[in-house]
Amino acid sequence: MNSYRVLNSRVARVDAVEKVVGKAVYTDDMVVSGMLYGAILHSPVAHARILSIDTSLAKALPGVKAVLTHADTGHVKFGVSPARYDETIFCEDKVRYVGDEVAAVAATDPGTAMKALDLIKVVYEPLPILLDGLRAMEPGAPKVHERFHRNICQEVHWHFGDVDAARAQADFVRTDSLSSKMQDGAFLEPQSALAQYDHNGYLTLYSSTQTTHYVHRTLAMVLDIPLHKVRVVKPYVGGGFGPKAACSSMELITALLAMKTGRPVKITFDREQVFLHSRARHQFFHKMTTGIRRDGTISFLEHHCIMDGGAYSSFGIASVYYAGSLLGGPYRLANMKYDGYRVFTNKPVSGAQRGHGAVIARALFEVQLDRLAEEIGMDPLELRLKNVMETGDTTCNELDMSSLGMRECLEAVRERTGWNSRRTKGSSHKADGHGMGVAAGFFVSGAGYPIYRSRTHHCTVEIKVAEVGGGVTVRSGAAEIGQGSDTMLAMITAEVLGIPMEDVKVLSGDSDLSVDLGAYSSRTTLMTGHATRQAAMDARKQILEVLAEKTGIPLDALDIRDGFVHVQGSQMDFASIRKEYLGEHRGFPTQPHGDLLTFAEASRLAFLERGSIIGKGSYRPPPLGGSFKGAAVGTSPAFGCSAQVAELNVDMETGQIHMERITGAHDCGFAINRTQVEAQMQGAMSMGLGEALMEEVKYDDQGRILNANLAEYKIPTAMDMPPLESIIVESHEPNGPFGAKEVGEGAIMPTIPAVLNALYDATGAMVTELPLTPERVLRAIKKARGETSRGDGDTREQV
Amino acid sequence: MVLPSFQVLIPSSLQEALDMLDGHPDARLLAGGTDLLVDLRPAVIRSAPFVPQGYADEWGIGYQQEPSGPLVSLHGLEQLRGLRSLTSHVRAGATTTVAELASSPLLRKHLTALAEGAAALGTPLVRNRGTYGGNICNARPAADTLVPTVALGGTLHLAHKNSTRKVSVVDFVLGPGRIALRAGELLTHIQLPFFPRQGSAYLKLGTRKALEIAQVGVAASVVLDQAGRVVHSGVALGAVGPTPILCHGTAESLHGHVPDQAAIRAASLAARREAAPISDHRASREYRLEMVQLLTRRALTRAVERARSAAAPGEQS
Ligand SMILES: Cc1cc2nc3c(=O)[nH]c(=O)nc-3n(C[C@H](O)[C@H](O)[C@H](O)COP(=O)(O)OP(=O)(O)OC[C@H]3O[C@@H](n4cnc5c(N)ncnc54)[C@H](O)[C@@H]3O)c2cc1C
Repeated sequence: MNSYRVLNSRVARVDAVEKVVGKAVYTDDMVVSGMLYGAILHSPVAHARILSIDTSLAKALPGVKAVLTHADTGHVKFGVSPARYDETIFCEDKVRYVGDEVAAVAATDPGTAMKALDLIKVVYEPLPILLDGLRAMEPGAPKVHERFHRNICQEVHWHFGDVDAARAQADFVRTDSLSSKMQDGAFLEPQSALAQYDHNGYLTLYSSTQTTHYVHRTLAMVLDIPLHKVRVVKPYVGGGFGPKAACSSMELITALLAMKTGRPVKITFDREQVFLHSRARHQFFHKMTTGIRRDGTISFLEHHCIMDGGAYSSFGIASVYYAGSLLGGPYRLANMKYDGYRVFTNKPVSGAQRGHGAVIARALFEVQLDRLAEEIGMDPLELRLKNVMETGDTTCNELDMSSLGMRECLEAVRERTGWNSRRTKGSSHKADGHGMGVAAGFFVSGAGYPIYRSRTHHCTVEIKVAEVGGGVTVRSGAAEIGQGSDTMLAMITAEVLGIPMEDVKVLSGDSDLSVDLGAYSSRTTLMTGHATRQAAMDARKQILEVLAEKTGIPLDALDIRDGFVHVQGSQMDFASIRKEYLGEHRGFPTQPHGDLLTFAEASRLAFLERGSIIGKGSYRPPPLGGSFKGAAVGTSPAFGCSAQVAELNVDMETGQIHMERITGAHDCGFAINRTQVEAQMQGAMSMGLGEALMEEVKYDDQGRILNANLAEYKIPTAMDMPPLESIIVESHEPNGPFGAKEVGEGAIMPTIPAVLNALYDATGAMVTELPLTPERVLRAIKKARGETSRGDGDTREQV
Repeated sequence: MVLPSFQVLIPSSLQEALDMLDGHPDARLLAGGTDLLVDLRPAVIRSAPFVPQGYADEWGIGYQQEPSGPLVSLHGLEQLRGLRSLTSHVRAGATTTVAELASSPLLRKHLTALAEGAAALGTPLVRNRGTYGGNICNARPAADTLVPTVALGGTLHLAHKNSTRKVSVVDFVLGPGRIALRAGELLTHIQLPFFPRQGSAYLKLGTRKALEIAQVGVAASVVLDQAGRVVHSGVALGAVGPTPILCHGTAESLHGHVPDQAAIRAASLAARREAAPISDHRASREYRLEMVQLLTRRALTRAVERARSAAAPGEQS
């Protein structure tokens, strides 16, 4: 075992009690005096030219303090990547989806704000609507943006190795396809923002965001305010999963309303608006051809993908790269060809969601591996083991596996599930409704580069030692969004400084505190963890330096553990230090005593000698990636990986799937907090299951969402979740703090394909369209049996 | 969520409630509010309100109008609450919660389909607030207590300021969200007959295991005579037509027969012929038809088993 006192434990989250007793403050809980309520007028049509907007009646309504349209803005374009800035605060010439922002009001109460929206008159000239992503590139398709030819937001064409030569060598080749549906993030807390603008021109925005940093930059850019005068604060956030990782029109509108009215303004999304704003997982259409040698060696992958991105670019420019690059591992694959297209349609905008861009691609590839294993008569888990990469390997697209416990993960789930004895060989044709399926996957542990081109530190952390002594405050811009980053910061600080966790206070999620790119690409533990470790070491050193000077004991003989100073070898005479401390604290009932100097005394002494003690840390990844176009996307200082086995039962007459168990193993490098690692794995499995079985944003033929609520957009309930087993694998990542790397997103990778493979094992059915609704499953079962679907007229009873 | 402001009247007796209804022709009744308050939610897409085809038909969740009159709360009215067993029937007050139906030993024993329907409705939170009367009066074709009520032959008791009347549930539900409730009336209780040697069951098909609208729901009830022949049966189909459908053909096909596998098959086929589903975003017409037949077979099989075991102890001695 290791000698850590705090790390690798199951210590409770620092925010657990506040959240459980309902005291944690989220943005919408905040009420400030004089606050106005904002509301947004969304486009009711999917594609139209705006002929006129008349706000006069709305402005005249008592209680209304501002009504804004594009005429009130600086017309500055924004988005996620500077290469694709294609959004404006309000629609200017035309609306591009049902939900596009047309106008906004601020009023003294929410009811008045809603009424004012009804009084805004917008005249639209309808334009042809494009809803089908597969038709977007066809000649004659309606054009969503003038600027983008054939509605292509971004295309990627990669060829690594030599696919044609490999094809000639392959013994088995097969082509399959898989499509998915647009997802919703389905986080608990709808987006909310509260803006304040003061007389010195300082703007403060409280927002339910994953990325205070990018919101900060976008506010300054679009509203033309000096960067240093913008502050973005993230109160507690009820989940994000990606959709909250970029600045939204709503945040800009809230800020603009505050600037125009001179009063605080708050806007909170209704659940329906969460769906309209979306920025969740794209709809994917993948087609893959994979070749394999008779001995099980994977020869090549040829991959074609179209992603329906909706009306604007958002993260799509990166998503389409991720969809290709993250198939480079975790198997040895020398030859890979990828053609990806991210297209525009007149639908809400898709962006990044847990497992950014790569989840459905991973699903299809893992399904193909199972089918190919069957063709060569090899156990599918064995086939994976035969091809896995090991620590030190580099993928064909130049991603370095600086640590990779892929083999360990596969072996762990094999052993835990009793795979070898329980999964009967060639079981795909038993079709008794019970099945087991395996899959694996890997993911980045922090994007190698920021979203805009810059040498910026990806994060900085300051640890300020309390001037009164005894504790420290961690100051970080990192975004605690429910994933546990505040706890991680406190644990690392406590470990390095040698003090109890309760003496560490964490301030985070505030752009005034430090730079931190935010909670996306599973970056925080690795990157902010590094910076925190460095800052804590710096603070520790400064304190011990003072002590060494004062006592004459060499620096390296001094250590702090459990809040006390320990001296190696000799004894330390600290009588004068204690005397001074006691003198300063006459009348305090609790006083230091005993024969060890306390951290309180040592840290107070450091202040008395040197003034403020602030430990500083920062992190920036080394230059990463190859030199080909788009090589930066997918690069990371480290990669996490995981394997899962899904077990399920299918009702062969209805097509309903009953999940029995999922067993997962994830290599997180080193578990800073074991409970949190398991929680991330479980959350990922539940999200993956939802996506596999039921989640789907549905539209009518006018581009209006049919199920913009959590009653009809189905995510798994507690009743749908099977028992989950989470096995932690620790490969000790050299580039991670204490060996740690990601678990937040990577753990979702195997879930969907494990379910698809288990379904095939159970029924012999291949479903090529997600989610696996009972109807789709039943149709596939019949197809596998060679039955055709029975129409109305045919009323034969089936036994 | 911002609700528009509205007035709530809180009567302290049934008579006062009826007087209030009489005085406010535009009033709406508020029981648990799990349908009504959702309906009152203002639309986000403001300038072109619409109701998507085949959508608002089922739960009424969607894009709704402003409330006009006051809401009359049924909350404190004791007369409308609770389940009572009388010799040959159960009397269920309109504001009995769905949770109470689900956990009632009385229903579990005599009217299992209703208890199963209640247990399949929504989530614990919704079941604790939502009422039996609200589920019936909301009149959605997939309503999970309404469908068993149709199969079990429920009779609704309606009160007006100065009169009362009875109507069968089948005649009461006219279409999605449309009921034969007259101005000034409210539903006071539901009467459900039960018989010796009766068994019933409700099956609901959906994508997930809770918080789900049935793609197809089937309630079946059979009453056997001493020789094990069907003397009375009821099969009701949910979500396959504008209202729950009581299958007359099924009842005819079973009547007088010992309900063996062949008889149940024939009855299930009859049920399929009576269903009139549409294709919508939840399921296609073809799938629903097939599932009607399958679920009818399964529900009838279960109901017959229960009827036989209900009969067993008394019969044998
Ligand atoms: C999240 C969620 C999940 C749900 N899941 C399901 C489900 O799985 N299955 C299902 O069937 N339903 C479901 N529902 C719908 C709803 O919960 C049920 O229909 C419930 O039984 C309604 O009862 P209530 O008391 O809340 O009705 P209310 O909302 O109070 O009233 C509903 C309607 O009935 C009228 N009404 C109520 N009582 C009377 C009376 N005594 N006399 C005359 N008129 C009356 C009201 O005026 C109103 O028009 C769900 C609702 C929600 C919000």
